[in-house]
Amino acid sequence: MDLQDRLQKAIEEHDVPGASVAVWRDGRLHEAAAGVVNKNTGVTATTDSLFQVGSTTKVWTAALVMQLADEGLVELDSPVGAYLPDFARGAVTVRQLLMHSAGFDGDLFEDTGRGDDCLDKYLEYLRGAGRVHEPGEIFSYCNAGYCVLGALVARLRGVTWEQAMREHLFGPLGVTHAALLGEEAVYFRASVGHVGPDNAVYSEWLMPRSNAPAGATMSLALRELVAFGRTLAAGGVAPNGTRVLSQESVAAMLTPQIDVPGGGAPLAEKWGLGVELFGWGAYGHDGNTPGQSTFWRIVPGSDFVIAMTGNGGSFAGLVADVAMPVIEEATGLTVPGPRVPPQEPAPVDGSPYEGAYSGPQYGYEVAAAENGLDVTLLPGPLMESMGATRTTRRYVHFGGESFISAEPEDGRHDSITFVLRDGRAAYLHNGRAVARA
Amino acid sequence: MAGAMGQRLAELIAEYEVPGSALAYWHGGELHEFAAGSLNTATGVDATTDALYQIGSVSKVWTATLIMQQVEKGRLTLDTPVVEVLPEFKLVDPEVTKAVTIRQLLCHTSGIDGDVFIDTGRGDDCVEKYVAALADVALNHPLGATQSYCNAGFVVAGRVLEVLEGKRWDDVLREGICEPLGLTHTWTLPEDVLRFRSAIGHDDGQPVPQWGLMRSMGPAGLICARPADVVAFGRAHLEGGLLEDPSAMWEAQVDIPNPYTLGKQWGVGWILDEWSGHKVISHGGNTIGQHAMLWVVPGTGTVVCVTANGGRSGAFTRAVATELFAELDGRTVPPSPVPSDTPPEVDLEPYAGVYERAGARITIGVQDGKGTVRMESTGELAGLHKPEESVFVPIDENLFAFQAPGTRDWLTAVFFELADGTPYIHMGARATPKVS
Repeated sequence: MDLQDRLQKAIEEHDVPGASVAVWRDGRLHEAAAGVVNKNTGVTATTDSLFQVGSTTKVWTAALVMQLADEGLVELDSPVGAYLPDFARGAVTVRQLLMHSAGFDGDLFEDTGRGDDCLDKYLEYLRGAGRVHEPGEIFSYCNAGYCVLGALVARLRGVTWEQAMREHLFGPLGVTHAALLGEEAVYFRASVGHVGPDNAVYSEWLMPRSNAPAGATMSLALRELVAFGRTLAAGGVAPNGTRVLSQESVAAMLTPQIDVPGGGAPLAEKWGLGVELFGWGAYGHDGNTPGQSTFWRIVPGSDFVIAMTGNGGSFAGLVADVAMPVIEEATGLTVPGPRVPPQEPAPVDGSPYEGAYSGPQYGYEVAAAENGLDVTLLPGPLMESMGATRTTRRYVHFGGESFISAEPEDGRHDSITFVLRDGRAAYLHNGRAVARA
Repeated sequence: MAGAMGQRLAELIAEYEVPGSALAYWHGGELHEFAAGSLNTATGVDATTDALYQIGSVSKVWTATLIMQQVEKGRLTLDTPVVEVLPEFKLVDPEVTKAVTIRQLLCHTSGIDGDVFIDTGRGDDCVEKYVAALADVALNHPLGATQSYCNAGFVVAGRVLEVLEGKRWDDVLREGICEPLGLTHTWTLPEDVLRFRSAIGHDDGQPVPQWGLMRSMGPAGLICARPADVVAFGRAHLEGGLLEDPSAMWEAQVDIPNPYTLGKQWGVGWILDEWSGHKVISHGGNTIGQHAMLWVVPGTGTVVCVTANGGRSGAFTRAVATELFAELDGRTVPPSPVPSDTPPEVDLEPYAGVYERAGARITIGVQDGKGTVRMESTGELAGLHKPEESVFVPIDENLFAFQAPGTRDWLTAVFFELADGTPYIHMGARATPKVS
């Protein structure tokens, strides 16, 4: 089936207001867009439209850091405090930030304003960030760490993170359909996020600029993400022939640095420097802003890159119906589908996991239940504004210390894994390590 | 009528090379809305009545209204010196610093050079920093001596609002006007505009290189709105909803030395004019490639807002007004003065020379008995406009007209003297002193 038809059918099936996909395959670019960028305005989505690409931005920020390493301006194993004396957790290394193991609260979306001083102010704000684990101890997805990396890039380049991105990646890569600030996005058909069961236009178009290096603000036409993916696949040489990263730096980004507890759900099995490394043979990153989701995979050796985004409804459905079949047809690889609960879950002793866990955006209460656990999600105010509500769900035993929700939500079963210390769960891990309260 | 105007708007944008436009008017107890063309020729997104345009300096009436709300609350009067609210306020002349009043800011008589476009960043402290930067800015005329269009004064007024309310001008605007009137399509920051269709300015048919002015100019001109919201704002000045006595804002404060451009007098924020003997209050706005007009007719209750995102936008909105007011209210929009085929003999020599203020230099020359006018932008916006020279044609003793190169529309200039005899030229609503 042709890409456009496939996308059109999938957005209708999965109640996605608008979507765009770009695929590099057989030595050429294939693109499709369907639906609208905004249900209220009815402006149609085109392949030129900009979508918020969320945390895929982290790989761009990582590349800006690796360029500094290429130039000898940064040592990956040096403490961050050597470059940012005003960063309170200065003993953490640059590498630990890149591989999400710095150990402080990651989901801190403090808005320090729209001015050029926002990252410096955010560093100041991080003085109050809570400790989660020892630096380097485990993987725990850390947005705040990428804001620190953005501040590092800005400081060492002597410009804002946005200017560094334009001068050191957008320019050399030949990126034209991109925006980092509202006054840039307004030139394009720019997608809004749609949230909740009615796909309502989200109340804020843009997340805080202080979180930009972690993925709060970047909007791209999907072909730009494909061009960046091809650059990584080509060892740092952009499609236009410009070298933007050394071969060694790209190799380091793609070398496994740390295992992700849970082994493949909800995130990849391993992490490189900024890059998710998937066991089935691909790398890339996912991205989410309120009501917008992005999927980005590069398959090494197959000359294949896919970037896809949707602005509401069930993005998991779009991934299953568009991205997965396209990848399998193009590469011959078998992409594991999302995890599903076992037919007959094994009995498990829930007592090591019971208790309360607390993170900056969510709290959890875990109680032993038949064949598993009852997990109550306690969303904070920000997550409530994005549609999350207090809910209790049954999780059944999946294997090891991993559990999976018995019933699907948004077409997928949620996975959690516990990290034990002395036989008792110290962390509930769902990509983030959430410490016992 | 309604259907006919929908058709006419499409014809008029073609005639005046305007990429996209929207028109809203309140007449006879009903709102009428029209749109035509494209919001952005690069994306091809269609103009709709819900799309936001930069209304530019129409925003000044909004800021003036917010100040009048403070006056009605008893927090200050129009004759309160600015320094009473902003103790740190400082201009180059200490006497002027002490004396300049809120009223002089709102009717453009403070003498602060008006076209000072200082970029003080994207942050919430931009207005405060802008006002601090005025300490180094030259004065254009003695305090209260004449009228000269003053963007800077409205930024100062915006800062007064920020200090009185303890919040950003953007928030004072939202709470003071947008929320009481239920305006859903009126915003100030691009990240809010992005939830709607919005217009991009055009120059020579192409999108302009910069979306908008620096944020520091907010209180003087950074509102983005759909015309229906602007009409609702205009109606509140006739029917109430924002002020106890909105008519206080249409009391004449100063005569405009060149009464042929925008109107005859300035009120508080509003420009005052008479069409066929009837009072009309209005304000226009120009940003980077976008233009808007708001007219309010107290005698008939008619309110009209029209926007354009490029082309011969000034002539276009005038053409819309001329047709519309003749139809709706039987009012004749006074035509702009144009030179006759046989201009009078006027000696230009006494006026020849260089006139200069912040951001602009105007040179009047005489060659072989023919007049020329050369317009140059200086300062921060110099890069956006190339110097232009035009033939300068007399209409009568002190009134002259010219056409900017490549345009067909006549602009006017008036020579006049202050009470102390200092020679000035008045064009584009600005008074500019002769410097050599």
